This record gives sequence, C-alpha cells and structure tokens, in this order.
Amino acid sequence: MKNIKRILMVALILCIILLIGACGKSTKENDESLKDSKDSQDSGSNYVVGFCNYTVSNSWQTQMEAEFKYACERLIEEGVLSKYYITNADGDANKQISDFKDLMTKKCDAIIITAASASALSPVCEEAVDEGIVVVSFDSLVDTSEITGKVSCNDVEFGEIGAQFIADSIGGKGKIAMLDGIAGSTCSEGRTEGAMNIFNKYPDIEIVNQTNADWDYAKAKVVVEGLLNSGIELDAIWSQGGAMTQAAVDAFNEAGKSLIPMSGEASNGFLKVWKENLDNGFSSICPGYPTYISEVALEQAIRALNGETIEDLYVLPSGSIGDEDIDDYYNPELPDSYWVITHLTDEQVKEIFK
Amino acid sequence: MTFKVRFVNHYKRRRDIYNIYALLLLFVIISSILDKDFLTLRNLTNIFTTNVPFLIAAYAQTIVILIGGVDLSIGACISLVTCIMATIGTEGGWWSAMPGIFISFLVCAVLGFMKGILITKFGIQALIATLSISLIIGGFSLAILDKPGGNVSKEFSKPFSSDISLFIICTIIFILIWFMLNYTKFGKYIYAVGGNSLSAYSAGINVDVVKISGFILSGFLIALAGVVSAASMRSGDPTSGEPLTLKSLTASIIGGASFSGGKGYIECTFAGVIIFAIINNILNLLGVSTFYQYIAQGLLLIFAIAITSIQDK
Repeated sequence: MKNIKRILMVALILCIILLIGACGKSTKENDESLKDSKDSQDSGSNYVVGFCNYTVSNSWQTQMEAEFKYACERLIEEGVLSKYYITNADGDANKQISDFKDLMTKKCDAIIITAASASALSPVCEEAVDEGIVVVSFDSLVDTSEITGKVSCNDVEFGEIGAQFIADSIGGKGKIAMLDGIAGSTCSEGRTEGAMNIFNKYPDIEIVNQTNADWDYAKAKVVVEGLLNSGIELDAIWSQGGAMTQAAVDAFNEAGKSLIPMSGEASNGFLKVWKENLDNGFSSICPGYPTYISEVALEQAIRALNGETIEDLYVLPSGSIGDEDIDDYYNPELPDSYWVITHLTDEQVKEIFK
Repeated sequence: MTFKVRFVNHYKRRRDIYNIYALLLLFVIISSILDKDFLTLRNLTNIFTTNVPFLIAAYAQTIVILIGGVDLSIGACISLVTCIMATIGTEGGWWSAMPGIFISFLVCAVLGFMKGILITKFGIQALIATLSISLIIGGFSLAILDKPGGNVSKEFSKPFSSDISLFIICTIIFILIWFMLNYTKFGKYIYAVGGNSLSAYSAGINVDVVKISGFILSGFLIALAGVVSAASMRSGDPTSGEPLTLKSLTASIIGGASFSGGKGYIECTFAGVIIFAIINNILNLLGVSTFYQYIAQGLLLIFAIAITSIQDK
C-alpha cells in the first residue's frame, strides 16, 4: 500500500515537472519554427542572445525585462535574432553565476547582464569574453573592464538631480530628511552619493534624518510620520524612490501639514499624487531611469556582433520630469506601477500590468 | 542489537538512499531527453561547480538537523565570511588569503559555539536562536562591507575556484563527513542525540557537548562554503549568502533529513542538492520562465516531505 502511494506520488510529480518543461519547450520550438520560416525569406544574421537578469522584484524590472522581450521579438521578425533566453536569479548572486553559465551552455552569441553583485559576476563575464561571447553589462554593472561594453544610467546623476532641486527650492538653507533605498545596494549608495555631492556644497542644509526605507511605501510612511510626530520642522525631503515620496506626501496630508518640496521618481503613481497635489503647492522633480535600458544594451551587443566597435561605457541620460511636464508623461489609464520613461506602447504596458 | 534488527535498519537506510538516487537518475534521464545540451561535460561540470557553496552549506545544515536543530543563520554566516575574505589580505600571492581564511574559520567556529550555548544552556529554540544570530551577523557584514565589493587575491581565488580543486575539496569533505557520521563514536552520538536526547542522556552521552560540537563542526563547514563562495565571486557581498539558508534547508529535506532529528544521510543531502540544481539548470536550458522554477522547487519540496512522512508512518 505504502509503495503504491509512493509510486503514484512520484509519477504525479514527474508528470507535472515534465509538463512544465514541455510548455517551455513548445514555446521555444515555436520560436525555432519562426526562425526557420524567416530563414527562407531573408538571410538574417540569426544571433542567439541571452539576458541574465538578477531579479524582477519590482515593476521597473518587470517593465525593463519586457522591453528586452519586445525588442527581441521585433528583431526575430527582422531576422537579426533567432532565439533569446531570459534567466532570473531572484537576487541570488550564486544562482546568477550558474544562470550565466547556462546561457553559455546554450551557445548564446551575446549575453547582456544586470548583475546581482558588481564583483561576484565579474569572473564569469570575463570567462565568457575569453570564449568570444559578447558581454554587455547594464544598469547594475559588473565590476570589470574586460567585457565588451557597459550601458548605465547614472545613479549619482539621479541623486544629484533631486538634490539640486531640493537645494534650489529651499534657497540652500534648511532642515531636510533623506529617504534611502536598501542598505548595501549599489543603486541606493550611488544615489545617496550624488545627493551628498550637492548637499555638501550647502553648509546651511542640515540633514536631520537619513533612513533606509528600502524604496518601500509602508516603511517610508512610518519614517515620515515619526519625523512629523517628533516636532522637527522639515523644509524638504530628498527621496530616492517614487513610492517613498508618495508615502511622504500622504503622511503630510494626513497630518494636515502643508507640503514641502520633495524629490520623486518617474513612476505613474507618483505622477498621479504629484498632479493631485499641484494645487496644494506641492513641487517636485522626478529623475527616472528609462526602462528601455535593456533594449539599448541589446542594441549595443548586436552592434558588437556585427563587428562595430562600441563604447566601453555608454551612459544613457537620466530623464527628468519637472512641474510643467507632468501631462506629457502621466497616463491616468495605466496603473500606478507603470514607469513613464519607456519605449513600450500603451497596449504593451497594459499587457504586462494586466 | 540482534542480527535481524540490524538488518532491517540497514535496509531502511539503504531504501532512503536508493529512493533519492533513483529520483536523481530519473531527473537526469528526463533532462537529457528534454534538452540536448544537458548531458554535456561542460553543463554537468557547471551544475556541480557553481553549486559548491550550496552543497557545503547543505552539509552544514544536515549536521545541525541531525542533532535535532535547525540553522537559519547559515546564509548570513556565509555572507560574513565573504566580507572577511574580501577585506583581509586582498592583494598578493595565494598565501595572502590565509589570514582571511584563518579568521573566517575562527569566527564561524565561535559563532557555532555561541549557537550551541544559546540552545543548550539557555534553552532557546534553535529556530529563534539562529534567527537572532543571523540578524546580528547580517548587521556585522554590512558594517564590514556596505555593498558588494572588496577583493580576494586573484592568485588565490583562481586556482582555488577552478573546477579541479572544487572537485577535490568536495570529495575530501564528503569522505570526511561520511566517515565521521558512520564510523566514529561522535557520529553515533549525533544520531543518538538527535533521535532521542533523553535516552541518549540516560545512556551516558553528554547531550549538550554533542550538540555544541555539532554546531561548531557545522560552523567549520559554513566557513568553507563562505571561502569557496568568496573565491568564485573574487569578492565579498554582505547579502550573497542569504538564499543559501532556505536552499540548504530545502536540499537537506529533499534528501530525507527529518526535522525531528536523528534521521538523514550526507549522501542523500548530496543528491538533494544536485536534484535542486538540475531543476534550475534544465529549466534555464529550456528557456522556461524563472517563475516556473519556483513552482518546480516548491513541488519538489512538498513531494520530498510527503515521501518522508509516508515512509515514517
């Protein structure tokens, strides 16, 4: 009896795992048949590319991965690519190393990577380059110069844009609070570094509080409520994330305090809050990373595959939205988590966030 | 112990091992049917070498589970070791990494001792004690390295994390643990204490000493996992080890280790780790979305636990 149960169990689970594998396999085979049909039409270059992603834990990353996917599908139709792979390490540097090696096993001609850890992924990237694979690192960069190219958005610049706005709007003098991202993340440290570059130029700006609110609405709200309760009169808040600024605005409104200048980030949700509070005298700026950075990295990789020389470091300019530009970017029909500096069409965005 | 009882025990033990290796074989067969790149030397080497820290961490977890505990601080300790390795002796020949290695082993052994003391002498549950230790160590790691970085001497890390040396390290470690658990008094004590600490106590075994020693031994393994991890990343990372806590737990349980203690085999944990690694690998090779990897991992875990509990009935 025990044995029968056990055998049934094994059979059941294996079926499920096989099924999962088969689902994946069938979509890939579709890709291949697509490739074959393309082959007969034109002789494209038919590269295989891989995207070694480290996480899709937030909507920016989801949208960024989607930009890559749509760009690949377009390039497959154009006959430039034959196949693409996406791996995801869920923030685990060790898993990302093995993901990267899996992409090498699949004989990718080019791999673009956004790294869970700047240093940890360097050895494996160098190994791939030694084998003649084009490696382009973007967003969260790897810490080695021995790769084909890098594409970055400048974290420091992001921090500086927000901080300069804060300094200007309070006349270079006053008490401010800083809401940082996750302690230890390259992005958070870079943005904070940028902000400090600016604030250090203004001796009269006093930083009364600096907290890692992890880009999280709930955590930021607790911090700002605490500051409001402590009786400190803040003049401005420098925040490095849209959700955190949104939380700060809500905390101020709930406490019945008049709004002070706060820096934000280019998400649809934040633009909504900003637009709603424009009449209350709320002023902000939002620097934003374009989500199409993955597409830019892919284009760089393909240029390199085609034998062109590419820049060692291509810095994609941070977009920035001011009080007067809101209507150009804000789309009330799309969800809050949508990032407005994008190449995706509204339909594609709806598809992702459905 | 009569011959019959001994034979039955032997058979039970063999059955656990046969089951898990049969499962492993099935996975290998299915995977090689699904993707032609799976059964290549290169891919099999990758599966093994990229999971060495995971493998050693799982051994550490298995030993703790055997003595009836659980260690939720394994990941944090590994992160700490990578931070230590990346800040001490960062330049120079292979010997420059030695002070870092020495300190790492010392720190992990002391931490293991502390965990053991908290659990045995203060009577704190293993779950709580190791969770608190994990938080404290996480803070220390961030204090040493606030973001991934630092450097581990290339002269040390390149040869140390090469495929061949990883194979040698894993083989030696496996044989040592396997020998210790099966053929030494200490190994028998570990199974006795985990199985039933009261009867172990009445049989004259110093339960507390065995538990504390188990945690110290597990500490040494954690340090080794951290050193391998630091060498393969050639740097430190204050958070890189975190996923290993749950992964090591999962692999131990897939391998049939029981939370009630006293049951589990090192050779099964090895198979558990490799099965876990194969799932990720094959789904990557097939280009299946990562989300399904979690589903597969979850199913595997439920399956493994169900098997163990059916067998225990």
